[in-house]
Amino acid sequence: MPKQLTVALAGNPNAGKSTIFNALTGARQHVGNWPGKTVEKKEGLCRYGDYEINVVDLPGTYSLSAYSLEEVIARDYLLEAKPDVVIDVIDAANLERNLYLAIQILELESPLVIALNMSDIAAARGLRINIAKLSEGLGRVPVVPTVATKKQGIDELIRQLISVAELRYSEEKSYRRGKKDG
Amino acid sequence: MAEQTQIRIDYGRDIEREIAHLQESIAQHTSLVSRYPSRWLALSLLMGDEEIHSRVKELVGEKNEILQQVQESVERLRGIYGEELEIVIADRRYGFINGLVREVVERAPGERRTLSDKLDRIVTHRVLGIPIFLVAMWLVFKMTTEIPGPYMDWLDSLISGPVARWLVTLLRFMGLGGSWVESLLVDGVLAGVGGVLVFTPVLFSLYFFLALLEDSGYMARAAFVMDRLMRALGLHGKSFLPMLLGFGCTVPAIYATRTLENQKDRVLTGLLAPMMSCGARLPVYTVFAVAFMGRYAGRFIFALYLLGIIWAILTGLLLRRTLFKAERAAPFILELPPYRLPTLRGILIHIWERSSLFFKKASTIIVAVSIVLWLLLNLPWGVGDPQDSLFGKASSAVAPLLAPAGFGRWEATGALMTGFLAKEVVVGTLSQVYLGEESEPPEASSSILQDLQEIGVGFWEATIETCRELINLIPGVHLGGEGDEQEGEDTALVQALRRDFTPLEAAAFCVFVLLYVPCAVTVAAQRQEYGTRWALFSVLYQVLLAWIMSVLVYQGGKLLHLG
Amino acid sequence: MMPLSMVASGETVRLIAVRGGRGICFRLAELGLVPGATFQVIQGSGQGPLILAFGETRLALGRGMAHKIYVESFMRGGQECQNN
Repeated sequence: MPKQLTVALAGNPNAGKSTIFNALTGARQHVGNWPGKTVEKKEGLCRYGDYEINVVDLPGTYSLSAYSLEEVIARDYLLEAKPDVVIDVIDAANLERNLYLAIQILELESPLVIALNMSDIAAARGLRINIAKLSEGLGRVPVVPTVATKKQGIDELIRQLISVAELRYSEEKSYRRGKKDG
Repeated sequence: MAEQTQIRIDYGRDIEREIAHLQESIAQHTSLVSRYPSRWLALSLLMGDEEIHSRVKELVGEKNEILQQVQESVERLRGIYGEELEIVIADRRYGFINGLVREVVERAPGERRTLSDKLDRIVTHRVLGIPIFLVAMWLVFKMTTEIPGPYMDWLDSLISGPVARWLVTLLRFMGLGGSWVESLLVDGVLAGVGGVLVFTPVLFSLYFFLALLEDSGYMARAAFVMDRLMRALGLHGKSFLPMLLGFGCTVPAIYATRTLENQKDRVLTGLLAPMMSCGARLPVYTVFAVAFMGRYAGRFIFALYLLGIIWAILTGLLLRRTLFKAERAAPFILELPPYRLPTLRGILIHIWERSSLFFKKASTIIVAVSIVLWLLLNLPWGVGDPQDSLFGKASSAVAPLLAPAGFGRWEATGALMTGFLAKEVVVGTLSQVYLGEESEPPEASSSILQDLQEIGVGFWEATIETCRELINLIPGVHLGGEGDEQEGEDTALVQALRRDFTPLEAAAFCVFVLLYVPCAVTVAAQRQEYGTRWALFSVLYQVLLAWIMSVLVYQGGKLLHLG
Repeated sequence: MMPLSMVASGETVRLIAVRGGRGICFRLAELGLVPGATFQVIQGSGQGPLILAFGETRLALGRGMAHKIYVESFMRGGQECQNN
């Protein structure tokens, strides 16, 4: 019996979110609509080891402020469906604006993994990003450099999101156990 | 892995005080704490988020002191910051981000977005932008109409030839040859579903170019270039592409409205797109133009296209002043992403997800409508003359409604009624009712091997034809092709039409064909995209408009003694 | 101080204030256009939308909105130009 995880994919438009989605799920995806909305909802399956990860592609947004229909959908999903992990795809060459969404996801206290995408372009632009410091500054969120078009970093991204989910799961178990004991 | 900690952005003393204050009250409501992080909830309420506010109201009850408290806090903060409260919050967040980025990013001199910016200087140029855009659109339009053409013919002959033959053979093998089951499956379902499948090549090539435009980053520039023009019509810069696609086929035009962010802009564009005369309406105009307009045939057809555009503009202006009054086109804020080389894989996935959605939803409706139409044409059982069928009787019943437009006869009415299904069948229905031309029952004699050979050769010929047309796109080059031959058929139909229609009636008929519902698939697409109510509105509006305009043409023409 | 719609192409300006609906101001702020932010106008005066450049972002902005955004010339503000 494979372990099942649900992962939401967030990110700015044009940050390479759909490329990451395709790299994660391949052809195992299907398109529908968000309940009651005309916005496309894409879901796909990613198998890794004995994990079966359902990847939900949230609409591309700059923020979670409920300004547009897409933002409402993305925020509602994070709030109500409570995915096991959220991946935020960040355009490494445009860090500031992309981090705006990331800190909103963190303020929502959703378990986050950052895919620092297009890190090759950022490097070509002369940007040297200290991954460890960035992770530290965001509260030790795992940050994985990726080049989705070349499928670089995808395996590491999957490993990180599994470990975040596992950690969360074990925490919850010990929390529950603690409650029972007390 | 190290344990994650919660980041905390400092929003400044005043805001933090209100957050802390609210958080205390929130903590007393388990219904809230179990659902939402308390700091986030407090901040959202302070920012006047209506969605969150109404949800809290539902959870704690309308008269809870929390809501009172929120109102007081917001008033205090508005007293300090006024309208700027949200901006202060965004500013604080960027303050945090900028501090972090300064710490983690080292900037060495490197190429900035120079190539992308240089391209933009040409592509979004005030003067050059529009011609570049028009050339790009012309290419897309050409490619989506010329490339699939031969493949569509090939698919058409494949479905009406070998596939129909195989189906007939299979049915005869099962002992159902010549039965009503054969008629239902061959004349009803296969004809209907085949009619949709024939569109596959158009959709594939259309989605290919759409994905290419989107993934490369040009789509954002096209919207930028067209924004001024479209805004004059109460539309959005991004509305242009769906409208243009409408000249090819209305169905993808409806789906292309997805590129618009604002739902109202999508609906409005989707209501106007059907007035762009699609490729399937052209054969109808052609038959009538050849029959009645003589050397003015070309101008007549052009005038019809123009009429469609004019009505789209007028409808747009009208709806913006009535149903969409409060809804101004969304303010234009659009990111221009750097140009990127699209990947084939990305494009293929795009094509796959878009066309699979189309076939899933459209085919079910087409099957249903085909069966109903077949039933109507064959009831009561064993009816010989189509005029005596339910279909003929229904057409005769509706016909008087169309009398003011001059063509209120059951034949013309029937053709328009099947035209709801698809405009391609209008000419077919006309020839069936006028010439009594029974569709030849497919012969089940040829062998599988012959069929396969025919299919293979047909596909090869279609590919050659497409390549030839692609080369013809290069200015100054012209290779002859099968498409150049004038089609000399339909002369019997043309004669029949001349006997039954006056030129004025023919013109009114064409106007009706131009303006009423393009096809059932369009309605299905509209329903899927905008909901049942807007789809119904679209149907009613178009039928009404078609009726009024064709009556105006007919009666006006009579007044001018053109009839 | 002048409306953004009057700034010529190529000029670098600093945002002072946005006088629009609350939603619009907030949206611009979320994209990074907060008061005090500096950006370059890549395509400005004339008609039709504008193009702004800040950081790696290129933003097209409707002219109607540009009338409501007030900016000052970055060089004249008494401060040095840091980059660009």
